[in-house]
Amino acid sequence: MAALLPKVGMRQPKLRLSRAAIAAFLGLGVLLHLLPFYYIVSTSLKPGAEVVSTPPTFIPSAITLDAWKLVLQIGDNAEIVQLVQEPFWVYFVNSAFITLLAVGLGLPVTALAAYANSKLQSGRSARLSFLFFIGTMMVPFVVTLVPMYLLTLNFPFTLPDAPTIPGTDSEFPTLRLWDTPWAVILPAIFVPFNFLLFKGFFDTIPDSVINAARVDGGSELNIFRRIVMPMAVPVFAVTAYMSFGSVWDNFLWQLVTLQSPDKVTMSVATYQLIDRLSTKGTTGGGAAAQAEGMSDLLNSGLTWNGMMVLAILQSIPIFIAFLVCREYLLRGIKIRGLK
Amino acid sequence: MGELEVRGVSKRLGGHQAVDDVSFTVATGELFVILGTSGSGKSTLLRLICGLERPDAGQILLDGREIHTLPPRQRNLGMVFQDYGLYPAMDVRGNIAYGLESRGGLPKDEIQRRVVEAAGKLGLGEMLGRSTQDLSGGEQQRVALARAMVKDADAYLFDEPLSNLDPKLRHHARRDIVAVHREKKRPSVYVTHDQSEAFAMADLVAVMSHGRVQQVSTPDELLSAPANTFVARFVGSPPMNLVPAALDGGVARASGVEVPIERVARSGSGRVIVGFRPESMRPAHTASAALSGTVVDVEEGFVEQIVRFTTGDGTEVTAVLEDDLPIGPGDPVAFDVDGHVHLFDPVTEQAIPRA
Repeated sequence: MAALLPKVGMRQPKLRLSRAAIAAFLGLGVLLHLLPFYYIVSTSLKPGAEVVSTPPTFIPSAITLDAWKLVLQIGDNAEIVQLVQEPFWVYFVNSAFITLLAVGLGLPVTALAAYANSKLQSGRSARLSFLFFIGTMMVPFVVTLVPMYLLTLNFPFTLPDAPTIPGTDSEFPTLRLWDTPWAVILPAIFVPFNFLLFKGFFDTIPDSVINAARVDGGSELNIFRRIVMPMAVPVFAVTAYMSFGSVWDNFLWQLVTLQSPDKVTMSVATYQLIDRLSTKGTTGGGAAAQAEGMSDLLNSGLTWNGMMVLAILQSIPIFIAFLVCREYLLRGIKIRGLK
Repeated sequence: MGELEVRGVSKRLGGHQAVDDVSFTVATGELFVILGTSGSGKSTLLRLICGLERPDAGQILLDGREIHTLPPRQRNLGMVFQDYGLYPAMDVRGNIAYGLESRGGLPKDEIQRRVVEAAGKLGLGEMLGRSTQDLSGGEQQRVALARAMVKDADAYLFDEPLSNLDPKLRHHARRDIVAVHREKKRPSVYVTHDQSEAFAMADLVAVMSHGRVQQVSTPDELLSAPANTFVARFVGSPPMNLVPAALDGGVARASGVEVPIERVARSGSGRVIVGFRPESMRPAHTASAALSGTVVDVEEGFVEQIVRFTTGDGTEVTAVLEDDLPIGPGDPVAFDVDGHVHLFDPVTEQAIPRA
C-alpha cells in the first residue's frame, strides 16, 4: 500500500480519500477470503440440528463441541461405522506418511536433477534434458490419469492385465502398486515445477563459485551439499511447502489409487463421508434401515458440522508447513550472495 | 622437484582453436606470467592446467606425474579466480577452510590453526566471522588469496586476480600475491592482460596470441629482443615502431626513411621491417635524418612528450621525447634513431637474428 501512494503529500484531501478507498477495497478482499473460514469454524461448533436448518444461521445459537468429540471418536462409535470404518487418526497417519515420504524423497531428487541440468550438463544435452523434464508439465494430468492408473495395476505395463510371456502361459512378473501408499508417493517424487524453480535458482549461481570449489578439492556431491544447498535454503523452503501442499491436498489421484478403508487418506476419507452423507439412504440396504441409520446419526450429531471438523483438521498441517517454510524462506533470504 | 610442465597442449572450443600446441615449463619457485589480449587463449590454458577443461592433445605434468587426466580436486592446486568465486553462504573462515576440509586428512584444530595463520598474514584476522558479502572488493580478493595459500598446493594458479580491483588496491594486492608465491616456493602461473603487472611480477613471461605462445623470455628480453612483430607491437607503451623498408647496403630505405643498420642481415627478398623503440628517437636537424615526416598529433605526458608522425609512404611512427618540441599537427619533423634497431622478416614476421 505504501508503494501505491507517494509518501510525500499525504495531507492533500485527494490522496487521503484515495488511500481510504484503497484500504476499503483491500479490506473487503480480506473479508471475502476469511468468510469461508469463519463459516467452517462456526459450523463445526453448531449443534447437529442447526446445521441443516434453512436459512443457515450466521452466528451459532449455541456453541457445542459435540461434532469435534464425535469426529475424534469415529470408528469407536458403532453408530457411524457404516459411514466411516476406521478411526480418524488412521487417515491422518496415512496422509502424513505419504506426504512426508513424497516430500522427503522428492526434494533431493528434484533438486539434484535441476543442479545436474544447470551446472553439470552443457550445450545440447542440457537443453534436451531440460525440455524432457519440462515437457512433462505440458500434458494435463487428466490425460495421463487412466494410463497412470493402469501403470499402478501392473507396473511397468500400461495394461489392465499383465501380458503373458510369449510361448508360455505364465504372465510377466509385475509390481502391483495400486492400493499401496507407493502409488501416490512415486509419481509425486519428481515435480517439474519445482525442477523449474530449482533450475532457475542454480542458473544464477556463478560458475566461478562451483569451479573454485572443484579446484579447492570438493567432490560434486560435497559441493552441492556444502556450498550450493546453504545458498538454496529459500528455494528449498518454497518447494517443500508447495510439494507438501500438493500431496496433502491431492484428491483425484488418491481416490483412484487408494481403495482399502485402512489405506485411504484424509482427503479421500472426507470425500467418502460427504458422499455417504449426501446420498443418505439411496444406496444399498432397505430404505427404511437407511433412514433409521441416518436419523441415528443426526441424533448423535454427525452432519455437516462433522465435515467442517474434518476440514479444519485437514488444514492444520498445511498451516504448520506454511509457518515452518516461511521461517526458512525469510532466514535464507538473509544469505544473499548473488550478484 | 615440483616443476609444472605443459607439453604440446591443444584445445578447440566451439569453432576455433583456443589453445594451439602450447609448451612451456615452470620451474619450482618461479612466477610464470602468461600475457595476452582477451581471446588469446590464456585463460583457457589455465583452465586446462587446473582441470576445468580437458585438453584435446598434449600432456600436463606436475612434479613428474601426469595431471591432465585427473579431475580438478585430485590435482592439488591453489587457484585465485578473476571474480574470486567465494562461497556466498559461508563466512570468511568457512571459505578459507573449505579446501582443507574437503581434502580431508587434517584434524580440526590444525585446520583452524592454518586458517587463522593465513588470514593473519593477509590482514583478515578480524574478519573471520564476517560474511564474504559484506567485504569490499580488496578484502574479497584477499579471502580468495588466503583460500589458495592455506593449502600446501603443488602449484598456484592466478587467473587475472587483480582485474576487478581499482588501481590503488592493485598495487597492494600485487605485493600480497608475490609474497605468497615467495613463501610457497612452488611453480606459479599468473594470467594477465596487463603488461605492467607482468613486468613487475614475472620471472618469465609467455606472450600468447591466437592460442599460440609467441615468445617465452624474461620481461627485459621481451623489450630488448622481441621474437616477432606481434610481440614487438604488443609489448611496451607505446609499443615499438615498425617500418617496412628495403635493404640497401647498410641502410634500410623507404620514403622518408633512411635507417642505418649495424650489420647487413640476410633477407631473401631484400625487404625488411625495421623496428625501434619510441624512446630511442632523438630530434634531428640535418637533412639526412633517419626518419622524416609530418606530425599527426602531439600528446603531452607528465614528463615526456609523445609525437606521432607519418613518413612519406604513410607509415605511422611514434616518438617519446624527454624535452618538449615546439611543434603541432602538420609540421615537418625529423628524427634520428639512437638505440638498437631490430629487423623482422616481412613474410614470416619473425625477428631476423643478428649475424
